[in-house]
Amino acid sequence: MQLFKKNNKKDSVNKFEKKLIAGIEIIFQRAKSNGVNNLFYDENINYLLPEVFLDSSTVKKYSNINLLWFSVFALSVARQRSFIVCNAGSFFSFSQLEDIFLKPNQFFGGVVICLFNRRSYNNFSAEIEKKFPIFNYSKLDEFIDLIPSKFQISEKLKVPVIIYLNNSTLFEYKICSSNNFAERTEAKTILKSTDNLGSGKNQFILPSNYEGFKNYNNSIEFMPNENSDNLILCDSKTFPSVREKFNNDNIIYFKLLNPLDLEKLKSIFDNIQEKLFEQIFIYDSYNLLSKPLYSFFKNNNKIKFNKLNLINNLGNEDTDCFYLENFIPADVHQNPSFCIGCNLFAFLQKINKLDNTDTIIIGDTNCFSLLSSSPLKFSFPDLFLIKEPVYFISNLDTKNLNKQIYLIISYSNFLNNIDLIIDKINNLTSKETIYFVVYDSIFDYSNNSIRINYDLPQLRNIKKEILKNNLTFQDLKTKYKAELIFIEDNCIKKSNGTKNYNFYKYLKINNDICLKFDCKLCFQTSGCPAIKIEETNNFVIDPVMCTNCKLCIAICPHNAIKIHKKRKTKIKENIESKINLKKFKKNKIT
Amino acid sequence: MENINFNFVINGADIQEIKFLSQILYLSLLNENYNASISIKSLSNISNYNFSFSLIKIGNIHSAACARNIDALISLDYQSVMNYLEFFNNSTIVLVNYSKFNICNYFLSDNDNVDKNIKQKTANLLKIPVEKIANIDLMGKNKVSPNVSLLGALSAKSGVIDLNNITSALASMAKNDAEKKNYINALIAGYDFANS
Repeated sequence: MQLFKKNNKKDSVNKFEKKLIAGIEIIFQRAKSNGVNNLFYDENINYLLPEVFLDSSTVKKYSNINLLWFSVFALSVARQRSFIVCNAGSFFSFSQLEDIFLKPNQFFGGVVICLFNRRSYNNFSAEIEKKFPIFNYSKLDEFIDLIPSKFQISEKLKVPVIIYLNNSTLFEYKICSSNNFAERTEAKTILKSTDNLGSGKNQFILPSNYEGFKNYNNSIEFMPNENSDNLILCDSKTFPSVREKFNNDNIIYFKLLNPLDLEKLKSIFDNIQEKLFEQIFIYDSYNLLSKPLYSFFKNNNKIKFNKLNLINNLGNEDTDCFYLENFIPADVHQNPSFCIGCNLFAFLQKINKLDNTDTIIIGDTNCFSLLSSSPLKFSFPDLFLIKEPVYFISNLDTKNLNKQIYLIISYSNFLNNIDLIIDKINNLTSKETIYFVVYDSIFDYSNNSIRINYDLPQLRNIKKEILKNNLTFQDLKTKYKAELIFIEDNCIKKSNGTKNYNFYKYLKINNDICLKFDCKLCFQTSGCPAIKIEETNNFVIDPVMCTNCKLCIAICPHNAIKIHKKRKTKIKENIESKINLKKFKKNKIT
Repeated sequence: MENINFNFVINGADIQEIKFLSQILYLSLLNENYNASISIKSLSNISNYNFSFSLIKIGNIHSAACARNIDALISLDYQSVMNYLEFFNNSTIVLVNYSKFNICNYFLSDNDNVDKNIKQKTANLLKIPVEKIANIDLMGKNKVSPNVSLLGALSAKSGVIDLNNITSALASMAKNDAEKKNYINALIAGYDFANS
């Protein structure tokens, strides 16, 4: 009896220590029991977490948030569920939010995002509330049984579901054997006692800077201080670090998702008494606001300043800081090209004809703007357009997929991210297949100065081979282990290779239809150099330049362009040929 | 070898055609005993329109800026001549393929407006309907690019090159006798059009 009692006592003590679980662990466990294998959490939330050991095998930590969202998107394409715990500020400071999550044909849902903030409920701007389904909870009990239903909602709507939580749910502790929650204050005392023994730091006091995160309807928040001479403008990403450094200065804080309200800015400066700012700092982590802000300060005569400093938060301040004299506002958005390249178009059609349901095609947005803005988009419904597809593919696990993935990258993008690609190739097992389709886009001529040290012997001589020979798909497949396809999409170069003055087939535009509708899509969107105008304003396709890619036929909504065959002109049989003069002459001579 | 200040520019959307024409011009200038040099550039898709150019200069090319004064311009498209308007003199020779026109949104308005703008700068504008002059249908099996007749017009207008030197350069490019004959026919057709 004694032995039994002793063991029982020990067990009860051990059980009590083991089964006291923090709120975040409970959330992850419940998500995992619902069949979600992909669990992520943001590193920015790390300072909020209690001392909890999370298994790195099951739960992945991400420092770079851009990578996290790309990987989530990749998993949704592969129809896998994923669950993310994230800081609210870092979610809304993500610059490509709308590009990734708000495209209905490309995003398949199955994503639940838990955002943490000090207050459980927040008034979002109306635009966000329309786009995302948002739920607010302040306690664990309220939402933890509803997690599987949230996944179903996101798969129906094909949009990520956002659960907005109070910070206090992180510190809620729970004993597993009984369903009652341990109260937060009790948990605090237990951990405090352990903390005081080991290290003097107290984790439960929130940093004072955190008060600034308020997602109200306002896009601009102003925190004035009359004593200071400096003025600071900052993002939500840089805001906490700015609050630490410049506590005594005037701070203007922007929410990135909302566009810049210049009228509101003006109204702020009207209310302030006129004075001379010594320095104005602009902290702009994504280079989105630098151009309008620069023009605002330059054109406004009321605001006077000695220095204007622009700081990118990506690196150290000293290296990335440059002053007004050197500052030239760069183009924020690059103009997308209008050409997808005729050879690439033919290649895409070839894949589409195979009609394999197990293929996934992923491509650059830079060169596929034509696809999304024309009737062509109906012919390629399964094409995913992303700005940075290499990051996308580097996060994708193909183990469970058993699908063929075609990744279409522009040539410069391929060279820039070659390290990621090599890593991916090395980690592939024999069953997995990813085809890297690389094309020579028209816009890449300016980037010829890129130099790379090729590490793999496979990729060492590729560049030379591309430039020398027009290698096709089948040649390279036999040569290399990695499935690489190179396409020269420069249609001008290609048209010269097949330059025939003795052409047999040619394309013809029916100009009667063209004049009726006056759409001009065939040359406006494609920019094909073979389409020309005659003096009588008729559209003509120059058969010498034409490569017979039939892209213009696919674009034209009115079926005005058709293929014609050239008739062979037969010489009429003259009487002389019938008579056979030569024989006659010969006979005569003889 | 002689040195004169004289700059040719060949302009158009078709790179291969430009390469071919500039090659012939270069060879014929060497035959003329000039010190010539070439730089060919393919420009990207600007304002929905592909165009590229080659610069041929008698003397050495240090940079593209040395073509500030263009003496003769051969262009395969009509409306893209407007790009070079700043560099024209009173005496620049402008030879244009006037049979088909490339489409570009930026310039596309009327051919008449382009006429006015060019004629304000120079008087030596020649619009050559190339495909009419060099009849492609009569060439038979070995067809040849009709743009050669632009070079013939150049030799007639500017006194820099003779027809003989161009024909010798063309004859070296041709594969057959039939092609050689077609080249020379197209060349002479352009020469006659400029003189008439």
